[in-house]
Amino acid sequence: MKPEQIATVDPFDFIMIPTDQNQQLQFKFGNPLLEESASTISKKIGDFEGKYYSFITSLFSSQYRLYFDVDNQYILRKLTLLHAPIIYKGDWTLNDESQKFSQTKNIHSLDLYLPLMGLITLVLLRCLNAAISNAIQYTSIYMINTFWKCLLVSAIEVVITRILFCLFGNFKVTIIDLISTSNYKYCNLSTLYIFNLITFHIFSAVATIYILFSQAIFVYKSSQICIEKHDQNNQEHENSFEPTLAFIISMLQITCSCVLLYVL
Amino acid sequence: MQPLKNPFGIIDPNEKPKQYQNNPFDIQNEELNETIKLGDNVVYQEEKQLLFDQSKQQPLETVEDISLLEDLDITSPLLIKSRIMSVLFFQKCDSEYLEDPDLSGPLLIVVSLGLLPLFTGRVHFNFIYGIGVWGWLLLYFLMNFMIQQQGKQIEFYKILSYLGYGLSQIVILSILSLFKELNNSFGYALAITCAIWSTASVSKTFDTILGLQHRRFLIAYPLFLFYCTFVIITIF
Repeated sequence: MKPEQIATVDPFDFIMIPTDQNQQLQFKFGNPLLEESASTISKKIGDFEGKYYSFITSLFSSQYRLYFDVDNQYILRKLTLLHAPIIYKGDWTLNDESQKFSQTKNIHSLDLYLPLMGLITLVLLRCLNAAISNAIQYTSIYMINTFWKCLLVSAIEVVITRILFCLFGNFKVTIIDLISTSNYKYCNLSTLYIFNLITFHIFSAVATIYILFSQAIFVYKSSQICIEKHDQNNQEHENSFEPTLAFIISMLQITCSCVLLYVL
Repeated sequence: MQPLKNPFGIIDPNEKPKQYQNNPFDIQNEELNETIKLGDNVVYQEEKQLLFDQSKQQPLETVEDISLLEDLDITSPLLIKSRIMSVLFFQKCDSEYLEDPDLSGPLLIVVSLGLLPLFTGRVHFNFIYGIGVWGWLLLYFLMNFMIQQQGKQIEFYKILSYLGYGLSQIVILSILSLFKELNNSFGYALAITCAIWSTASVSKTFDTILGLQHRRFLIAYPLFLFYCTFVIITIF
C-alpha cells in the first residue's frame, strides 16, 4: 500500500509573522516618512555621484591637462632655459597658436609641473636646512608656514601682474598663464639654495645676482608670449608699451624673489 | 493530530519504500537491522547510517589543512602582509592588488605612523594626516592630469592605497628612531634611503598600471617629495 503523501508542517511556523501583520507593525512602530526621506537622500546621493564623476572627467580632459603634458626631455630643456636663458636667443613668441599647447615640441610654451615641483622642493629644502641647523623647534609648523608664505607672495605677484596687463590694455591673458610664468622662479630659487648648501655660502652673492638676472630675462621674454597673443587678436592696435610692460613684470619678479629670500 | 514525519513521503511520491511490515508506513532498515516507526523523527537516514558504520564515513579534513582565518573567510591580515612584502622587497604585484586595492593596510600603516612618535614624546597626528591628505589630493590631480593624454584615469582610493603601502618603509624608519637618534649623518643617509626605497616601489606600481613611457621620473619625483615630507617629520 502506497503511503499517502503527507505534507510536512514546519514546527516553527508560529514564528512567521504574516505580511499583513508586518505592515501593521511597521505602521505602528516605524515612520513611513523616514523611508521616503531615506529614498530621497539616496537618490540625491546618486545624482551627486553622477555629477561628481562627470565634473572630474570634464576637468581632467579640459585644457588644464595640457599644462601637465610634459616629458623628461621637455623638463630638462626647460630647466636649462630657466637657468641659462641667454643661450636661447631670438624671439620666444609662439608662431602658431597650436604650439601653445605643445610642450613636448616647444620649450617656450607654459606648463604648471615645474612651478609646482619647484615650490614644493624649495619648501622642503628650507625645512630640511632649518631642522638640521636646529634653528626651529617644530618642523611641521615651519613647513606649513613656509608654504603659505610662498603662496601668498605668488598670489600677490599674480594679482599685480594681472592689474598691469589690464592697465596696458591686455584683458585676455589667462590667470593660468600668469601663474605659470611668475612661478618658474621657484626652480631658480631651489637651485640657488642647493648651490649655497654645496658651496657653504661662499659664492652666495654671485649666485644670487646671477639667478635674479636669469629670472628677469626669462620673465621678460616669456611675458611677451602673453602680450603677443593679445596682439594677434587685435592687430589694428599697436602695443607700443610691450617692452615696458615686460620690463615692469620682470622687475616685479625680481622684487618678489628678493622678498622670498628675505622672508624664508 | 500531529503531523506525520516520513522521509519517503516527501522526497519522491513515486519511490517505493524499501520494506514495511505490519504498518505500511513503517520502514525496515536492513543495514541497521531496525524498523523506523511511523512518527519517528528521523530526518537524515544517511547520517544515521554513518553514525553506526564508521567505515563509510568520509575522512574529515584536519585542522591543519585550512587555517581558521581562511575558514572564516577573513583574508585581510594575509592580504596586508603579502602586499606589504611586495612593496618592501619589490616583489611582483599580484593583479588583484593592482585592480582592486584595499584600504585596510594603508589605514593600519598610517595609524602606526602616527602612534610611533608618541613613544618619543612627539605628537604629530595632525601634521601627518594633514600633509598626507593634501599630498594625496595633489598627487591625485597631478597624475590624472598627466595621464589624461593616454585616455586613462586613476581613482581616488587606488592612489591612496598605493601611497599608503609605500609608507611601510617610513614606518620602519620610525621604529628605528625609537631606539636610535637619527639626527646625524647616519640618520640622514638612512632617511634618504627609505625615501628612495618608497619612491622606487610605488613608482614601479604606478608604472605597471599607467604604462608611463617617458614620464616615470616625472611621476617619481613628486612621490619622492611626498615621502621626504614624512621622513622629515619622522626624524626631526
